[in-house]
Amino acid sequence: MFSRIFPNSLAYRLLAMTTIWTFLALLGTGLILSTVFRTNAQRDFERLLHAHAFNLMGSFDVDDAGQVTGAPNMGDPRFETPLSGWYWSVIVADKPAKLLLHSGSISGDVTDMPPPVRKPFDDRFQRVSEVTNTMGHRIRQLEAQLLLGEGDTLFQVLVAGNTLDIEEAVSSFNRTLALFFVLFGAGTILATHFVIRIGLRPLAAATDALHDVREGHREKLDGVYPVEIQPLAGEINALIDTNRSIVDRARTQVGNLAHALKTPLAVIVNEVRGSKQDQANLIGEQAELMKSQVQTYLDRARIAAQRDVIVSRTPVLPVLTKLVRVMQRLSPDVQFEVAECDPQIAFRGEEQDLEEIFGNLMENASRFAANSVRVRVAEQPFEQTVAAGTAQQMRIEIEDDGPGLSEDERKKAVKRGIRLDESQPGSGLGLSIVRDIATEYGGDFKLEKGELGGLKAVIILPKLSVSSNATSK
Amino acid sequence: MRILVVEDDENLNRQLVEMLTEAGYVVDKAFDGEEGHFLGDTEPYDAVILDIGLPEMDGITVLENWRRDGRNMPVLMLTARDRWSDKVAGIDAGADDYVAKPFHTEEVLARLRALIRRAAGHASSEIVVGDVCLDTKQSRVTYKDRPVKLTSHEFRLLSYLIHHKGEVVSRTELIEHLYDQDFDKDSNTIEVFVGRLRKKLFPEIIETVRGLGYRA
Repeated sequence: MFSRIFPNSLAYRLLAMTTIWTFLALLGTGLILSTVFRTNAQRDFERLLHAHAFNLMGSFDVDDAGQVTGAPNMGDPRFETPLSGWYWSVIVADKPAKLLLHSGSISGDVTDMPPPVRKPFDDRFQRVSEVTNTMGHRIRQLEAQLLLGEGDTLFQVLVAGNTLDIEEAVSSFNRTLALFFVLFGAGTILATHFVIRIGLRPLAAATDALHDVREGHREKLDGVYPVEIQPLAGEINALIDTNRSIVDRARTQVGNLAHALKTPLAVIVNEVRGSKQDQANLIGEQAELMKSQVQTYLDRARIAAQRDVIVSRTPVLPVLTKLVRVMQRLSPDVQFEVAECDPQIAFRGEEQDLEEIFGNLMENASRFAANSVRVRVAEQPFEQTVAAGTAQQMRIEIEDDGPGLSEDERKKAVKRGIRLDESQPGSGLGLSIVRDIATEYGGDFKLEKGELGGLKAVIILPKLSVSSNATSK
Repeated sequence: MRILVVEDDENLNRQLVEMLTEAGYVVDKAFDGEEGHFLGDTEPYDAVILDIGLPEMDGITVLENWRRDGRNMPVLMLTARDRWSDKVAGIDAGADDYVAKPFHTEEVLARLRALIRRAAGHASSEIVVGDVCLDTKQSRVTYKDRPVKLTSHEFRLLSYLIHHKGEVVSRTELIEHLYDQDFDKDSNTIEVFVGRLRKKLFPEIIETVRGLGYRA
């Protein structure tokens, strides 16, 4: 339920929760403030009416002849403005029709004074009522009774005020409050957004670092992380180490198995060689078969061991330089030339696999070369990439100036264990290992006719470079 | 030609020794790294076949020690670990060539012959001295393009002299490289075989440098 409402994002959840809380908190606060303000405004209004009423009661009297005297002045111009909704008047209680004294706002025929309310007076001889005047305004009126003069005539004063003033003040207050709250709310959400981003930045950094590990730009999560994330980074590093040690152990055991099996196989193969007996021949054939099977499955295991393992980054030039040095020593009569190899270019994979590719292909080339072997490593143009969506590829070309192969021979040559030239030493496995490695990395391997006249081996492999490294960070 | 075989597997060691002896080499053998290192350090060998995985001291260390001490005989490395990283390690330690296990002994022989020839500074498998031609691949000698029949002792002697053509080779050096350790160094066998070779080929093919030795 929770995850259906909130998408699977910590930042989104935090932001959504904060937004909802901020909205509710500000709405509640606004309602309370508005209510408090209204109550205060009404109380002040009431006090004002009382003040005017007492002022009125103190500003007239009855003389000996029973006449009302005095000219009350409330000091408020609204009482002098017709239709303002502000009035005062003095009457004798039992003669309500005759206004003895009244405000300037009640003059002539133009009056919006509401009809009196039939309501009993309280124990302080006052009553408060609210009526609607002819303008449609709510008028709040305070009436008070008092005895004056020799004959104790019961006078009744009325002071009325227009509640429109309260409404206007409350509206103005609410508008100001709303504006402030909208700004405050937006600011809070924005600030929260930044706080979340800054707060979650180490997580993003850890994700980037993990991506780098997968891309082969770095070996482990080696940054400093907050205490909340550090255990996670530690666990991931431990997992990477475990993974590596499993792969290393598997490789070592594969190597040990190879060593253990190959020596006895060599002994059997050599022992029965040259024997005329049928049994010896059979044993020899079977041993040869075992030899080839052991090699095939060891190679497969070796390459498969690297699948799904965190990819490493192998700069090409140092590996190439090393193997050229070795090949030059193994075949001193052949000239090895690196015609092109950008020092920045790196293979997105294991160093040992790149060594296998260079070693096997250069060794093959040197066997058939007349004088020279040429190696070229360059970025593969995007439009020629092998699999869809794999933009980062490199192209390795290794060619010799030997006799070369026909098209049919080239096709045959990449099949496992096929040796076109039995007079040359070797197991005939070199080319198929290269093909298997290239396929495993989503690349390609083919043989072409070379420009030097001999055979040209072309391998496409995933690459990384310093520039792509920088953009991916 | 005197060869050292260092291989811990007894059967493989025996096969290599048999094959090399049959091919006319004088062969010493060792079954572990220490023994192999000692022999290579003290005896003059024309080539060494060295296994990488050895008990007591591994092949790479043996090789590194020899090279450090200035022993520069050609070394053919045998390795079951046929990854290029292993081969690179071997070559960097000072090996001249490698053969991956399992192998046919013929391949080892072919590589060994090429190594010995290369170490003596000859590019081709055929070494010519005057009218005499030694085919190192086929182990054959021709004189004016006609094959000459030689016994294995005669062939070994001629082959050593031709490999070092132009150099004066002492009698002691010949004995050390052509015979095993318990050979009677005072016998006059060398003189006997030089005489027989001179009879089969033109006398001038082997020159006697008085007081020093022989030169092809």
